[in-house]
Amino acid sequence: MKSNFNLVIDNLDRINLLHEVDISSDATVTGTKIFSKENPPDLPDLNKFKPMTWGTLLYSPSANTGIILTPKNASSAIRKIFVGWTTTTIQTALQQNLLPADLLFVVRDPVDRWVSGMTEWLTLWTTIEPPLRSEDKIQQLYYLLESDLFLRMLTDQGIVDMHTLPQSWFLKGLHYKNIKYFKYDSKVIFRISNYLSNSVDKIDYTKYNTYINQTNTDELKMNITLKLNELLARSEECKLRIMDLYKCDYTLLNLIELN
Amino acid sequence: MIIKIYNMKSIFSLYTDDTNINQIKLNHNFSSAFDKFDKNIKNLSQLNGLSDRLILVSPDQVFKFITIPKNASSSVRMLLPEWKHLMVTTPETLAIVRDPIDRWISGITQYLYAWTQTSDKVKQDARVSEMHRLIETELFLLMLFDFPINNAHTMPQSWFFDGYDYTTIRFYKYDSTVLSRVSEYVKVDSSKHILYNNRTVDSLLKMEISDKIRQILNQYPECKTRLFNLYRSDYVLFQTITQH
Repeated sequence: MKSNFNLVIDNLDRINLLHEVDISSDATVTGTKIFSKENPPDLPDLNKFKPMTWGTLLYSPSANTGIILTPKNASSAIRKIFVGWTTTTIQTALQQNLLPADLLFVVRDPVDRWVSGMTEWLTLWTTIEPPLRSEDKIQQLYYLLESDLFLRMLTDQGIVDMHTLPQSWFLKGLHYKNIKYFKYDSKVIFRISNYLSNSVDKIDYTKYNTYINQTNTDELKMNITLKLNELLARSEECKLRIMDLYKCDYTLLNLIELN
Repeated sequence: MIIKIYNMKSIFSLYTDDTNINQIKLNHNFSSAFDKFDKNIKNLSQLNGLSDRLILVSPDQVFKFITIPKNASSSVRMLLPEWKHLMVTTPETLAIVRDPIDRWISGITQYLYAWTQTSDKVKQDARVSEMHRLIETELFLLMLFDFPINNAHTMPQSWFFDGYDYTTIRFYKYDSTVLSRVSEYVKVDSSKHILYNNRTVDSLLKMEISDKIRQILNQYPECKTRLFNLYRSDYVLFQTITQH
């Protein structure tokens, strides 16, 4: 019988994932608790992932270095900092043998990333049709954020767009061992820059603060983030649902730490 | 035109090439940022055995019935209590198909209604009140079209025929006479069974939810277009089958 873990990894079937995965016993335990050096995941590598999305690669041919861009993992900041670098997809890079020797990937706590991604999706509703922010829509959104039922439904939906797709899916076509990982935090850009300091020069940090923490500068986003975090703090069920949804990302985090 | 529904990919590629596509007027102009995600969710969905649990086989193993959620499946089970879940080959396969948007409204209504249901009466009353407030909020109703597939009730009907040669299936279109037509063909007495084909009327809240969703669909053509796009494989199926 397939374990829940395999079900998620092999299938990546959102429907099954939401409705077939048994949310009980081990399934509710985080990857950190399930796996250890003594009890490693029963997966040799991440090539078994079958993501639908080819990751975007930002690379410097001269430096033979590339950064795999993942939504909600400082990708906008990286684009702004590494100006002049070339953008392509992992698929194209593989097909045309353009894959740099040094590949970097920013990985983020899955629950934290889901909150950020869901915040972005909700905020977007206030900016579309009409293109400028409609005060009416903002008021409605604030109203919805007061509804526990609505917030719980969001955790049931889980994945709503690219920003909430599992980050490990963006590694499609790559072997996880050939990538240098950077954990997402407020200093991640500096750490990447330090890592690349020998091979890359003229990094423009001027727009760094604008892009690394956009959420903190927007009152609506701050409120949404607060409401979602409050829900996850008070509802174990909702939090576990999100953790189950991103099991493959927890696996990725564990594999990184095990190596 | 012969289609074997191996998977979603095949039927979508077929649909792309089909001139009937223009009849449905697929104006992909809904300005949500998530149109691209529709493709992902379709690719993600493979039923992997779900359909096995939805198959009923007659005692003489002549008929197999693929029961699709929101297509009178409960009524069919009530109509055919002697039929069992078996994985056998039968000479004939039957299924009920339904207008895709009509079915989606029913499915999403059930999804929302389910959120109000709990054994705690006080909690349930509070949730019903909260749901009433939610469906009065236009933004909430619009958001529903960004995550239209929630569970088996809103999965495209064509997904349930994954692996079947649809030309060998005897289809019945869903309407108020569907159970009598089915029972007549399989020679089962339906006189004792209520044609329970519109369970939405069971609940005032369900009626209110579905009315609100219909209002939004009428008010925003983009929402209808999104559903057309999402369920286009069902429209192909619906337009292609012979009515029984």
